Amino acid sequence: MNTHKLCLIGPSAVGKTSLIRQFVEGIFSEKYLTSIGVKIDKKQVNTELGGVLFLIWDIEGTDQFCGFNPRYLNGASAYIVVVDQTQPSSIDDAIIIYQQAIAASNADVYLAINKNDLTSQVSEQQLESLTSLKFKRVISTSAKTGENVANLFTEIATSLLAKLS
Amino acid sequence: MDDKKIEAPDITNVHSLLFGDNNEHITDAVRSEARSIVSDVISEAIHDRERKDQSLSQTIAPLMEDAIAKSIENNKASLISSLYPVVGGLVRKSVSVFFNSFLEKLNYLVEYSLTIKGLKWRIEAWREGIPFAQYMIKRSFVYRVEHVLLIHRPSGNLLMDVASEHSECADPALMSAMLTAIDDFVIDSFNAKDSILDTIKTQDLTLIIDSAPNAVLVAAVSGLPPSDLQQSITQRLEQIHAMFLNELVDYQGDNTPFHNVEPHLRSCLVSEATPSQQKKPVYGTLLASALAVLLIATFGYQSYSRQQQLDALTALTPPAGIHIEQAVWQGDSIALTLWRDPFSTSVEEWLTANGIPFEEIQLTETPYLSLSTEIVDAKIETLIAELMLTPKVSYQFDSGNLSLEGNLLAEEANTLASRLRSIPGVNQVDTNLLQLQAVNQIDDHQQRQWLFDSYLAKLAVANVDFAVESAELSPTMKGKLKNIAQSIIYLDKLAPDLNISFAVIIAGYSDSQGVSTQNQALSAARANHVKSQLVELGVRSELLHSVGIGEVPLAQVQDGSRKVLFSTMVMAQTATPPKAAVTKAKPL
Repeated sequence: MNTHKLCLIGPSAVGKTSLIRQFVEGIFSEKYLTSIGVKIDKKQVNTELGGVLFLIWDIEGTDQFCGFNPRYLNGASAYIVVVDQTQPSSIDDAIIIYQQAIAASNADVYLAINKNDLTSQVSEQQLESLTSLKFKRVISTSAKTGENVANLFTEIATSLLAKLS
Repeated sequence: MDDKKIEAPDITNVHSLLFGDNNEHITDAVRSEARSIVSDVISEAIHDRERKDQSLSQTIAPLMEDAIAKSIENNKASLISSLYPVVGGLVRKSVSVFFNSFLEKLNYLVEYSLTIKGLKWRIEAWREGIPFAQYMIKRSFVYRVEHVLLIHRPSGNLLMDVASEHSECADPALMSAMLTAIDDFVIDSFNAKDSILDTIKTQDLTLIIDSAPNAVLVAAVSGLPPSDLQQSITQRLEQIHAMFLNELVDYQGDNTPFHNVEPHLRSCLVSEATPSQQKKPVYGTLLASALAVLLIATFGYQSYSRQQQLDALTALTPPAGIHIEQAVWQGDSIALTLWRDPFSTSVEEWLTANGIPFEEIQLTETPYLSLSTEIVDAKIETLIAELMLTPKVSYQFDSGNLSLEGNLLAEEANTLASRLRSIPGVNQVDTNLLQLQAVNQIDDHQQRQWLFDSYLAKLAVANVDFAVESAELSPTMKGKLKNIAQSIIYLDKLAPDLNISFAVIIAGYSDSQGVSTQNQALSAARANHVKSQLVELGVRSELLHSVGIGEVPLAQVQDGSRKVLFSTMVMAQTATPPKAAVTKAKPL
């Protein structure tokens, strides 16, 4: 089975950790997020093309005053930028984070617009500027209901296996 | 254009001349050297192709199977002959390996499960909350490489890992990724250009980390790793990095190419046992432990048993006349120190009656005079019996006061009272209830006759004992002889009034040991000695006649045959023939 490093990045409190909390198996405490800025969990995803073992790096949320450590993206097969559709400011932060990330890694980038169970506060203009970025896929998710969470990981796994074959 | 048309055939011609129409000049030249060329590169080519797509093994495997099958089919005998010595060796080796493994496990079980050390380690492992096997390894090795991880450096993905027996790692894949994250964190925190982590220490483990551009090798070591282990890990990583460089550079999440790394990683699983672990013979330990347990159990049981015996002895209430001073174990016996009145029960009799074996007693007995009522009472009774006054006198003894009752001659009463007062514990002797009579005051003929007969009866049962080959009297026998002399004197006093003449025959005896003639002389000497003693005590010698009877050849009375017996011959002084002759027939 192939093993892939998958990173989650995004502004603070957009639901990155919640997005994967019930989806993964892990042994490390979330205290690692605040201590070294990353926590790693593991999840095996089975697709029609085979199985993939994801090592999911949950990278501490960042904002305009505090960037993330781009070294954490080294060797990643893909990464997901997560935003919160109820926080318009998270869109602007995500754009900055995206630009930092693509400078550090050429892996596939996915966009997860989280909290779709709540009303969106994002303007059309913001959404347009966000989706104009080179995301491999943009998907609307809900950490609360679990909607599209599994689909997102399955899609990434399928894409990686297709690329290898 | 024309030049070109002309040149093309020329080139073709030149090509044809140089290489042949179908390049046969080249192929022929290569073919002639083909064997040499191929032999030079065949090994490397096979290796490279196998590494590339494993097609070589897939192609060769069916060919090999067919070849072996045909070979067996064509010449079974040859194959059997070839395999026979190999199979025998293989079976022996397999059995040997099995038994070695079995014995090793048995040793392990014996040493660490049944010994005190094993139990102690189990308790300590339980206290530390780790499995016994893990604790045992921790204590048994100076150091041991528990786990080796090969990590893809850029991604932090685990490529391959191996672990020692009984070693545990929660999740090597996650550990690898987290270790990489920590390394990244440290690099970023200290603005380092490259990895600066080479060792991470915890309470029980040391992580020795070595980094190459595309791979990281991590060895988790328990105990105290030697200084050269880091160097060994570095060398191993360099080898792996060189051999698998292409696979590491092209890594896309597929770990399959790294299966061949396992032997390299296994070679890193080294350890060093503690010296005591190597030196201590397992069965010796077991035997020593068993012996120690046996000795402790035996000693414990003996101590318990001895204490029980001692407790039983000290818990006994001694009979009257015995006072225990001390009772302690000395060696294999109880040293019992006590005071004892000679009239008390013998110690042996007392202990045996209470179930304590007398053979295990080392007795130190000091005689003393007891004032206890029972002992004084026994002495009074014995004295009255000794004076042959038992039927004539009775007594009552209470709190040191002795009251006598009966009908005695005045001389008898005086002797009795005097002797009784000499007994310790007898404070006062009351003779008020005694009916006293002087011998010469008795006037009633019938009463005198009764008295005379009673002294005759006493004399008939009197006897004096002697030691072996001796005619001398012991102090006890001298005392006894005084009473006998007194009886004869009384008889002598009563006889005139009753018109009776009498004589006392003193017969001496001996046992049958030794020479018969000497025994005869000894018996005569005993009789003569008693006669002379009686004379000294006031008996008229005319009344006494001593005679030596010789030995008594009866086995059942051997010990009681060394004595002198008394017989009396009585004759009334009338015309009538002698009235009676009392003959002592019973010597004992």
